[in-house]
Amino acid sequence: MLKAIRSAGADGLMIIIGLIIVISVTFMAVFSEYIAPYDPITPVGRAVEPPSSKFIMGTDSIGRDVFSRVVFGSRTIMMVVLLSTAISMLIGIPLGMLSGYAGGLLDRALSLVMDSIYAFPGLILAIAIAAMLGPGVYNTAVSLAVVYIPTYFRMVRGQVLSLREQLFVEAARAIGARGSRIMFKYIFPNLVYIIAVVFSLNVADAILTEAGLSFLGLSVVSPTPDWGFDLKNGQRYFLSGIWWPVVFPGVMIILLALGFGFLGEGLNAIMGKEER
Amino acid sequence: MLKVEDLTVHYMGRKIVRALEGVSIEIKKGEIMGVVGESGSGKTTLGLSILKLLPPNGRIVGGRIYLDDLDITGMSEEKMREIRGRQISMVFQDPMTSLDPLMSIGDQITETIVTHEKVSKSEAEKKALSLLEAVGISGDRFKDFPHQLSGGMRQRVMIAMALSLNPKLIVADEPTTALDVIVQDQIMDLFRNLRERFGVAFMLISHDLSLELEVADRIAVMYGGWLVELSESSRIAEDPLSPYTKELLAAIPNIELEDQKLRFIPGNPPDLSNPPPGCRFHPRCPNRMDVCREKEPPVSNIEGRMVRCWLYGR
Amino acid sequence: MTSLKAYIATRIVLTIPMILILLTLVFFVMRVLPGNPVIAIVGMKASPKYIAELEHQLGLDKPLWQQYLDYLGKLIQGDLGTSMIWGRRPVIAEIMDHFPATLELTICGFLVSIIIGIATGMIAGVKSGGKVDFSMRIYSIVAYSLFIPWFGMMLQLVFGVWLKILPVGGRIDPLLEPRHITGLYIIDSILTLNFDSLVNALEHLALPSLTLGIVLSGIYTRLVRSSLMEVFSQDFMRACRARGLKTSSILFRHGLKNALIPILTMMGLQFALLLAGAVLTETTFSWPGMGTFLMERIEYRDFTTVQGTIAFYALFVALVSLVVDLIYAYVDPRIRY
Repeated sequence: MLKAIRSAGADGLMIIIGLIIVISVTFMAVFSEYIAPYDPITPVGRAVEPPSSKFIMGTDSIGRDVFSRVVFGSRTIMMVVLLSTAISMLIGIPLGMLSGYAGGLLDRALSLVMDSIYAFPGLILAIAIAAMLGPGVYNTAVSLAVVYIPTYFRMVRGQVLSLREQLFVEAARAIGARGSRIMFKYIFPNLVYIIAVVFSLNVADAILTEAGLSFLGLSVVSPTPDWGFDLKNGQRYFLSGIWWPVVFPGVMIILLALGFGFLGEGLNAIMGKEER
Repeated sequence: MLKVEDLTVHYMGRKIVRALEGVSIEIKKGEIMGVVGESGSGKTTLGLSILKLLPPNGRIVGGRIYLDDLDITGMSEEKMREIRGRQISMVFQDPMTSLDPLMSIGDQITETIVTHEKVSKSEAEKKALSLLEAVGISGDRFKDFPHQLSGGMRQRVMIAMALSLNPKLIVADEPTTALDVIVQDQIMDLFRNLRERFGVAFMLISHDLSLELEVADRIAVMYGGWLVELSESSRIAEDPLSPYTKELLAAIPNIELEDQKLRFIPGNPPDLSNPPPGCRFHPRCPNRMDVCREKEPPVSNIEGRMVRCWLYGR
Repeated sequence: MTSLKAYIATRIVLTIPMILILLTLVFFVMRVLPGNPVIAIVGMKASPKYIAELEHQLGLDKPLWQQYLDYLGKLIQGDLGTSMIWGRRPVIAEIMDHFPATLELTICGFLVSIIIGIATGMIAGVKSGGKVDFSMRIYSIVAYSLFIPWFGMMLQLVFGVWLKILPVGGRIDPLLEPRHITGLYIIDSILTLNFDSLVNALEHLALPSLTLGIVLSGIYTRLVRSSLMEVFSQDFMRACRARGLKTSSILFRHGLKNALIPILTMMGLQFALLLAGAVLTETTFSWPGMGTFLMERIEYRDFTTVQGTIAFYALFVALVSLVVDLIYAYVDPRIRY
């Protein structure tokens, strides 16, 4: 894979930029305590102070340092999104493999259910679930997870269906390998590549959905630092010229989504070329 | 009617590909000219150059093209557009990628007519209908879509389109390569038929010499971007001049001979970004002489036939 | 023609299980998930008797399967429930108050997105492989990543505050509201020949539609590009040019129709994205549509209304998806034969 990236030119550049962004933000999320100058949930200055050498991104409506909140906010969003993705994959992938390999009525029924959920507007479904479960990191992760289970289900099922036709599975069966063995030894490795693509693009989408939930006030409990949540708080004063509580968290949301988006899109393009 | 003089075409890029060098050819009114060669011989480039449809990196770096004494070599795209379809048209190898899958075949022919001539839509449709019948497709298939037709019929539609404005010349680039031999025969019959009825000339580009021998009046043999022989097809079969032509003829399997070993020409076509010195065919030529390795053979004229080979040069 | 009818019939039949599944999903989310809605409304301090009474009123004390059947039964009759607050109006009536606003926003956003999407997709598809194509691909990723509330606020800042040429919120100036015929201000103002209303409505629609449209256009860029790359192969362009057709007319006459196909294919799913995006757009621009309505009722813990609204979304999405598929079958002859 690395060879393909290096020789890919513009697409490789996309992947590299994506990786840089993702790794930087992950770094920020992991080492928040060392990067942020102040405590994100305690007021440390006057309210809505513009950016200065003391507070490089200014302070918000309660006097908290925006930069520190942005740094710690990366942890919140990464945790929620990665947790929800893990759940989606844990449920969606095995179900997809099962459905694709088993076929028949089980496949038809499962696909119908998944397609129906997939057709429903993701954010609205997340809103409904989050509204019932209540706020909090884990509840939000569950809301997001449900929305994206069909994505992984369909991807895996599609792969299983196409791979099932391929000759080497026939060959394996011909030499007597058992059904489950076939699934794990032959089908699984081919999935890894495509999972990377779907994962990246999906996480990009999940980031925007989480930010959306936060903006609507449904994800985290105040005063947890969260980009979407801060955006909502800053909206009140935005048009009177207090731009920094809105612009900085918003840019971070876009940046992180872009990072994963570039990663996924670049990998996708390379994968397409490799197949050829 | 069409005169190509000393045409040289290069494809630009990191390496310059010398696709055509000094090709001169003339096509008379109503003539079927066959252009034969292996892949990379430049035959397609020749066809595209005449219509100025070279890809962006293709450039005419030398020579001239005359259509009825009009020099079209440096003509603007605007003016070329009026010539394309109306005076010269082209049929390509794969009819499926040349047709819009969402438009009926009748409408696509009508479109060509309406683009060039100021006629009403119904008049154009009438013409399109008669064209379909001229190429052997029943009129009630006017409203059909490309995917409803067989490959052979789609190619007929392309030919009808090419014919729609009564051009002087139709360049057909491997028109039957993607079709089976029976359909191939039918299309060739169609060409002859159309030539009789409408007086249109054809430039038939193909890698299949046996096909050309059956249909073409004259045959131009191309190799490595050069025109190596040009003469009447009857004479080529009896008495080929260029060693390359001889090899091509010998390679045609003869259905009457039993236990025939398939002959082929050993080696590969030349890399045109770095062509061999001297005669481009010399690495594979059974009649290779020393001079062939060093100097490019001149064009010789033998009893009205053209050949480019040191066997005949001075 | 029978093949088209057969397709229509099959497609309609397939929609029913989809609706059923979605409605069951809604029921599952709203009733089965943890969290007692009654306590959420009245608080923990209410007397157990009061809680029990409310539960009975809402039918929450019946066994789950019976609640499910009641729920489905009411839905078939078009009853989406009754609001738990204020005037206890039927949910469907309240939804209908807010639905036209969302519809108008969604349609305008959609139009903006396909215009931009087709334009960028066409440029990318025809000049595929080059720098132009690459920048279009970048555009499609960037556009979708523009977080709607943030992007909307930026547009508000630029056009509403700095340039002062467009309003930053609301649907119309209250004094200029046209007479209610359809609820769609553009249509109503045209029908009543009220051009001041029309202009005002359009001014208010501008920024929200642009926000929603630009963000979602990126998806269409990608779709149009790949569809055009398939059809507009070098071969096709060359064959058209060989017939003497102008490149621009090739693009419009052949390209547009072919570009529409993938849009129609995906429109069912993209419509879901439009609805979701509309919720964020409405909240950002104080647009009085279903999104704002839903959020408001969630805040008030009006749980029956929330359930009814989500059910409405489900039905609406299923219906639109069906209609889109049928249009697609009509436009693309390859599906039929």
